[in-house]
Amino acid sequence: MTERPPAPLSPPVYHVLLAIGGEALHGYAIMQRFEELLAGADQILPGTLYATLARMVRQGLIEETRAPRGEESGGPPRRHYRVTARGRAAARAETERMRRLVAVARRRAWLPGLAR
Amino acid sequence: MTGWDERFAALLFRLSIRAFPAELRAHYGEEMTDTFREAFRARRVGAGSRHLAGLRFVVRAVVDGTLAGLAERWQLRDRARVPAAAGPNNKESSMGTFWQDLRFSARTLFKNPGFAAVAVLTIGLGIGANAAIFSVVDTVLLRPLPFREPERLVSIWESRLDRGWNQASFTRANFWDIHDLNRSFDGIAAMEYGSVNLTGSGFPERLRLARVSAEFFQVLGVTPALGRGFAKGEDAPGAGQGVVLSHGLWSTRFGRDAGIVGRSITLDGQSYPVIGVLPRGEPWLDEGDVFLTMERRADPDRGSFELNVIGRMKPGVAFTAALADLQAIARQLAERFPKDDKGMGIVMESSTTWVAGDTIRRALWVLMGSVGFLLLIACVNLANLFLAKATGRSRERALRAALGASWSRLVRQTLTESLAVSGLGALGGLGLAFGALRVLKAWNPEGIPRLSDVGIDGWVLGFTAAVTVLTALLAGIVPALHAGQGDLAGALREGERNVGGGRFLGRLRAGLVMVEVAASLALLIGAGLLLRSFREVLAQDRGFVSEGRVLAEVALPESYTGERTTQFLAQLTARLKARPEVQVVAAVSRRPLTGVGTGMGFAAADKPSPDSKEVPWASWRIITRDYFRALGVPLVAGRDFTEQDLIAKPWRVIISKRLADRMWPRENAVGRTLLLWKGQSDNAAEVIGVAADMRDWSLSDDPSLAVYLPYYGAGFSPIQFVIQTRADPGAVAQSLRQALGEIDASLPLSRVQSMETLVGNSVASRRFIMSLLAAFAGAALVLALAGIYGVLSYAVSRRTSEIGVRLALGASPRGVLGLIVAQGMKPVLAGVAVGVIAAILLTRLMTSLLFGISATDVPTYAAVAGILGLAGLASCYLPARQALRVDVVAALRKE
Repeated sequence: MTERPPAPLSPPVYHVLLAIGGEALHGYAIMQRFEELLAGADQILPGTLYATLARMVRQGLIEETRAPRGEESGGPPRRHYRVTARGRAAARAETERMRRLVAVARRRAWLPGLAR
Repeated sequence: MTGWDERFAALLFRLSIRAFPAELRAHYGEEMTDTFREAFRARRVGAGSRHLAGLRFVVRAVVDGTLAGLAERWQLRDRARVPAAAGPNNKESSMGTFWQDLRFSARTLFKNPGFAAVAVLTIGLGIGANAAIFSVVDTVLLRPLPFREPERLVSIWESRLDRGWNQASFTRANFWDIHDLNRSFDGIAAMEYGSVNLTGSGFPERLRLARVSAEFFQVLGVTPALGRGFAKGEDAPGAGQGVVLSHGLWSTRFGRDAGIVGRSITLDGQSYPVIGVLPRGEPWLDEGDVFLTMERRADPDRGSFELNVIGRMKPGVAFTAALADLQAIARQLAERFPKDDKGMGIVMESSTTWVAGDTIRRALWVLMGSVGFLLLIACVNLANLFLAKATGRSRERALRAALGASWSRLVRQTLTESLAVSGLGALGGLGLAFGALRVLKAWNPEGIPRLSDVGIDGWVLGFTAAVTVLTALLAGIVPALHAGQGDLAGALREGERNVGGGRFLGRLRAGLVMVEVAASLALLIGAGLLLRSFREVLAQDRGFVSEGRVLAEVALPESYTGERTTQFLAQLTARLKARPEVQVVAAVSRRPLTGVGTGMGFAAADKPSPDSKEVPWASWRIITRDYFRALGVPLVAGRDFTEQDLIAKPWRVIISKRLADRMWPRENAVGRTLLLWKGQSDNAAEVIGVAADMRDWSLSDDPSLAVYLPYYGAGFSPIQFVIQTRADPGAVAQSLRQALGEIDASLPLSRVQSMETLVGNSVASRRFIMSLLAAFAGAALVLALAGIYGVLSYAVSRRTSEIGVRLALGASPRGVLGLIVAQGMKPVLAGVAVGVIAAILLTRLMTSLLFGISATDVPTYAAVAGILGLAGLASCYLPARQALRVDVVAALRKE
């Protein structure tokens, strides 16, 4: 049984979805992408990362998978994570929500860099 | 190849993720650790100062692992509690939110290690001081007495207000009369002090003896740890005599031998069977090493006041009713025995004063108040830090609010952060308190009861927890409210530029500075008053010399009559004097500075007899020749005693100068007749000498009126030897022990100490209170200065562009400087004013702790206000100077 993901998505969940994107990534790669995504402004540490991943698997936002061909490392096979259809839908909904907010902000000229 | 550091880091991380539920750990544990290792390696290779970066990562990852794991556990519980059928679980659980907030707090704190360290240290200091002082207050003042229903216990004193005696010990006959006649007490019992020599097994030892009436332990409500206490009737004359041991003596001398009851010990050469051992505890139970019964004699005495009396009121009898009952008996006695009991009254004290007297009680509450002030200052500092950080982060908050975070959520986030800091501070503070208590116990100042029992127990932990939460609320509420209110649009638009300038914030900061200045001022004034009192006490003209003087006690058994004692004194003095290091040897019946003493009423035979109300009171001591020389006290008239001056044959006395001046002002006192024990035995004594005054009661009491009697012919024991020497106390003790061995090997030597130590001990509790308060005030001053400087320099730095504009428009740097300093000083001066008023109100509570100065001592107030004012001025001036060096063009470009 899967849980329904809460709406709006919490920032770490949303960021992890964005970080994985269309690929299948292992934990450390997600961690690196996460940092790139937020331009080093924030990072996610292993504890929080795996707590978030576990929750997202339970909620059906992502699924575990084998390593894609050509990417196996020498060590034991590690779990990779892929965004599910449900995850994509949730991310889209969250993006739409934020887009609407940003639109409001733009109307009020609150976006940095815009002239008053 | 993995290094030891990576393996160690991985071990720490693995430990931290044990916080995760087992199921999750089984599934993800290995992978999590691998990810951690990879990230750790990347940081070590990548960063320049790689060890530091690696270390920081490890600490953060470990904290994060623990918190994330705990949060998962909580959510698991929530999921278990909410049945799946209940439908979608959209609401965040409040506990989950708490963990999320806590994790967020931990992350922000780790991002600002400097901020975190300062905040935690500040709060740790405040909480630690509170925990330490509370543990002392708890043990000394709040812990109940070790007796059954202590609220029914009282101590009872006689008074003779017509003679100016407010509180006197009981005479034997009066004690037995109130014992027999009262109707309000379950029992009334008495104790008197003495000393005995324990001989027989091992080395001879001088023991403190307490003689008690048979009901004493029943009245107190204690059950002996072993054997039994005294039974009713055991104080009848000729009743079989058993001895009860104190817990202390039983432990030290008899090694807690459980078979001691039934065996006999030898006291002053007489054998007594041990019938019981008392439990540990104070007061009363530790007043004697051995307890014997006080015999109820047929011809009781109403003249000497020797008994300490306690009573257990009957259940339901009020304190005032019991007192009225005893007062009525006292009036009867005054009528029946007008010679002795005229004017007799009764004073009763509740048992709450038994452990700590008024002064210690007062002092500890003053200390408790002072650490409260210290914590207040720490809270204000923390609030300021949060506020400065919050304004720096107002854009982030505004964004979060815009993205849907609720007002209450933001407030809660700030409070959680404050709680995290306070919690960490509390941990550090408890460590600090633990260390401080160890130092305190090692120091062990005289006069603080139960100090060895002080420790960090459940009560202290509970108190600390409560204080921590209170601190978090106090320090977090202002920034939390600020985080919740405010102009989101403005914050987003203006960004970080103008955040220091808000009017509301400006006033808030000024208010916090004022509180800080006021609190530290009040604390410093309190410390300053105690410090000056202490110096006054030490600066008093003592009258005696303490350098190079050693005291030692020798107790004589009852077989030493007056004649034998005199002989002993002569032998010992001769032997000691023969030693090169000994300069003067003398003896006295009671050592100085003990704060207790024997007294007598007296009158001049050649003056009109005063009204019984005005009979003056003198302390008396029995001394050998050279007593004054040994203490460096000059004889101002007449001569010293010689071995031919036998006590009472005839009565000859030396009197103190104050006494002489009082009886025979501007006349020669030598050769006059003084009536001793006026109103009792009226012995006529010839004054043969006048000695200079000395403060022999305590340094903070005026020199007493003193009468000195000769030791010769008096079998008074124990004897206090006063020795002027070039050697240290240890060497003197060696010589004394040797000399004693040659004369009578069964005589124990005890209480060898230098006069300097004696003086030090007599002011120990004063020094203790003063040092602690000074330490707290010092810490408060440092915290307050850091806080004030932080706030003012922050405010000035926020006005950089304004300063640039003013300078560009032609304002003189001096003028701008003056303006900034004047504005910055406003809250400081307001704080000084508030603090002075607070100090005037609060220091009234400590008048009884002061000596030689008033609680409104102007120099102290002026000095402290001056110090704080100057410090405030420096805190304004330095950042203002900095701001004036600003590049005008750069500042304007910011506009």
